[in-house]
Amino acid sequence: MNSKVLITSLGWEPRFLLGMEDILSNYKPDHVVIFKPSTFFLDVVEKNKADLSSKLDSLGIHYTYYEFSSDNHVEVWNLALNVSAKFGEGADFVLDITTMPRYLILACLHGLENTKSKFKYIYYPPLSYGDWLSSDTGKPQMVFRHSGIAYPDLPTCLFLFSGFDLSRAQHFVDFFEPKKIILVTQQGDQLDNTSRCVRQLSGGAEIKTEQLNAYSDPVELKNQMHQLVKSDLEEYNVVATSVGPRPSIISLYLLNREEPSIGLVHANAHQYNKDYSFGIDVSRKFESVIDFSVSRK
Amino acid sequence: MNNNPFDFDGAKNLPDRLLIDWFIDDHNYSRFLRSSRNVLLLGHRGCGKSMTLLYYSLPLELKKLDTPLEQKDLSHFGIYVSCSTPLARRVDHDFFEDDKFSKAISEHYFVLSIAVCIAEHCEHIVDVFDAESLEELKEELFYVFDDELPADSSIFKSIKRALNKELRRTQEQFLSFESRTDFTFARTFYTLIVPFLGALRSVAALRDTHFSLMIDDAQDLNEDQRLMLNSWLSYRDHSVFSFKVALATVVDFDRKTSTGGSIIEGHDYITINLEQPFQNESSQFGMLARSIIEKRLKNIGVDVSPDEFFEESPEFKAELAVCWQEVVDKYTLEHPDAEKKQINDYAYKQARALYFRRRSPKANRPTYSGLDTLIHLSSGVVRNLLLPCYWMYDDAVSKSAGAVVTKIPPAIQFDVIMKESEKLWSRVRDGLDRELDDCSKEQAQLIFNLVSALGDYFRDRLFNHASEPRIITFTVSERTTDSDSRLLPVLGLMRKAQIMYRRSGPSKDAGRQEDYYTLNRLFWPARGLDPHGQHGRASIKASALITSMMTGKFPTVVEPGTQGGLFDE
Repeated sequence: MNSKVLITSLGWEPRFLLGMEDILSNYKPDHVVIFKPSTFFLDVVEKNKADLSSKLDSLGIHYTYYEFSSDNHVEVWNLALNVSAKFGEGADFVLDITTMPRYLILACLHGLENTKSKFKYIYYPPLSYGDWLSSDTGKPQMVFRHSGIAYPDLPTCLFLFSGFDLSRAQHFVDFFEPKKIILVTQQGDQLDNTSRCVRQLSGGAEIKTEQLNAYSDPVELKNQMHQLVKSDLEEYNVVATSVGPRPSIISLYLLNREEPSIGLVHANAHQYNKDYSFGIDVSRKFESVIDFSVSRK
Repeated sequence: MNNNPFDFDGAKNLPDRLLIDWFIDDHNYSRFLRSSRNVLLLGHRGCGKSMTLLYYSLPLELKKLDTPLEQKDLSHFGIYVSCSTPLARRVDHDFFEDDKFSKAISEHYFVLSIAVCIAEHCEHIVDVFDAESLEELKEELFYVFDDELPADSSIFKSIKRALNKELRRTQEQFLSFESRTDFTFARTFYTLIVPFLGALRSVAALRDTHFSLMIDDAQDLNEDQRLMLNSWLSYRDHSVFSFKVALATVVDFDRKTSTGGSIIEGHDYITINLEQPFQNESSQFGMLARSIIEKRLKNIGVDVSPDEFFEESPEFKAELAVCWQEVVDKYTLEHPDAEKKQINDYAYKQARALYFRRRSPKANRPTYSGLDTLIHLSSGVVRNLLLPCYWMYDDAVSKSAGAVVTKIPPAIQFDVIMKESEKLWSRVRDGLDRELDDCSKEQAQLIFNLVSALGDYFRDRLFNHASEPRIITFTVSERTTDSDSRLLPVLGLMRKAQIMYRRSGPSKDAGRQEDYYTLNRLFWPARGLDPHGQHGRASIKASALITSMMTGKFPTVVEPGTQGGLFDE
């Protein structure tokens, strides 16, 4: 029988422990892999670590913490690869992305693809968000092994799944100075801006806007993204990122898997709001299955 | 395409014709770009660096004059190379944590990008090469590309294709799951670019051509590439090529080279600083700003002067005129023998100060408006000038009910200026750590404290200083190693965030130079203060700045008795 491995990332938000409670209430893994970024709100994180350890001890579940510094992208990448390799092909993985940093999600996906794993991923939205969330102010960075194929004589097209706050999207636009922007927002969300802000965001670039549902089937979402971008692949260097709802990052990974010429990019947040979010909305829990054991396309 | 004439972004996205129409090739030393020297173009984002490089690149040079290709002047061949491409952002070099590998892959990507740009630029002039030249080129380039090339007008297309193929192959190696990549085939500057340019120079049409490799956004290169570029800058023979490097940075330019040496200004390169923050209406930047507005208005068919278009509030003007007259009358009465120049100098310093002093604390903000005010508010950065103009025009169009906008009413100018000013304060209040990579939360607080305290200081000065009330620039006196270590990193971050500007100016010790600092003048409207500064600077002790930074209060404001000791101008 395959071993059951739950992968999560220790967070300071209330929904981290609440989410783990919910997962463990009807699923008993053999091992829990807990990534522990060593950057933000260590006091809360340490307390959460103690609470989680005690919970896992009481359930008799093995667990390992993997500490890393989020500033060192090589370290993060290698860590994620080593972890997936350690548990090997054939393990039943569950990936809890609720409070997992985006670059770590991408590294985990790469590791899981490397081991040709089929896995379930889970995301819990909070009840509400704080008045500000974070600042993605670090330099955007192409993702190892998923940087796409770029040519110096082609203009850039930025595919961007944005949140309601366009200032985070602006960071990527300023950085890449794209000639074209495909701006995707979550269906139903009202952009906290006017058309004037969208115009300012574009910086003279051609801009195409679209609303998609990040909480839909990841393959279907990937297909919708593909539709939006496929006519640009020949004429542009396409780079894609998401600062919107976290599950959208999974579909972006799948998009890159289908079109390896699209480069994935991320930017580490430099600072987070301690009150990033409040509570957990279990009723809106989102989960889906990805199967990397089947070939690409 | 946006019809707003004050579009301030994305020079790279502008159509060539518009860029040619909008560019002002005066008041900014940009003619150095056509020289055979290495030139470093410095300035904040929005200073016009990309526009300057593009303007002097070959494709635009060809479009400037409507003459047949064979009659074009090809003595200068500008090759524009952007570093803000996804290719330049790759992190493949980090993957194996191997210095040698990192240098090789970094140089490989960089030089292949440059070579593609050279080939692409050459496509514009392929028709000037005769059959004999093309044959010659083919022979020469065989040794560079190790590939059979056609000796016809498709030669550069073929080169580009070959180079892009090489780039694709390299990038594809990093998509696979293999743990290690062989990289013994890496291209270098001296095995690809130097022979490529040498081959081009061997043909008759380019025999006397100088190639300028225009590297834009060099701050986006990785560390290996930056060191390499510095090494190339130290290449002394400029008979064939030179570099024009645009760098959006405010930190000191790192002069180290990849071989452990360093490059020297004046010897290896000259610097053009596009940031000219201490402008007035008649300064180089003042004239440039006026020309930019004038040209952009002309391009949309608005035949009014920039001063008419951005009209100053008549009420403000009238009240200022009253203050001016009052100051002149008072001075003349006290100094009956004063000459006209003395009277004017005095009124220049005092009249605006009197206007601001006289205003009731409960009065509305002054109606900030007029072209001069916009120029002062820009702090010498083209983007800072165009950004409020852009929104003012946008608002004016919304309110014009379809009519052509021939001027921006002062009320609209005021609204936009206040909004932008308040936005700037919010940025600092919210914490620059939220937007700067290397700014800690503590430093962000120190910055907010310092900006607030300097605001108090200059407010106090405007309202109370007897002889030089309108000074908004300062130098740091009584510096020590300790004060420098506390103060300079914070001032550096403020400059990086473009809330503070620095230039070098004469010090009071004859012949020496010192740093002059001024806060972004857009801070002042939200506090009801005057963004128009005057010539001169206040000398503020380092200890007073450190106290301000720590407490948010300028020492002279909290301790009026110490004022004499802290102002030593």
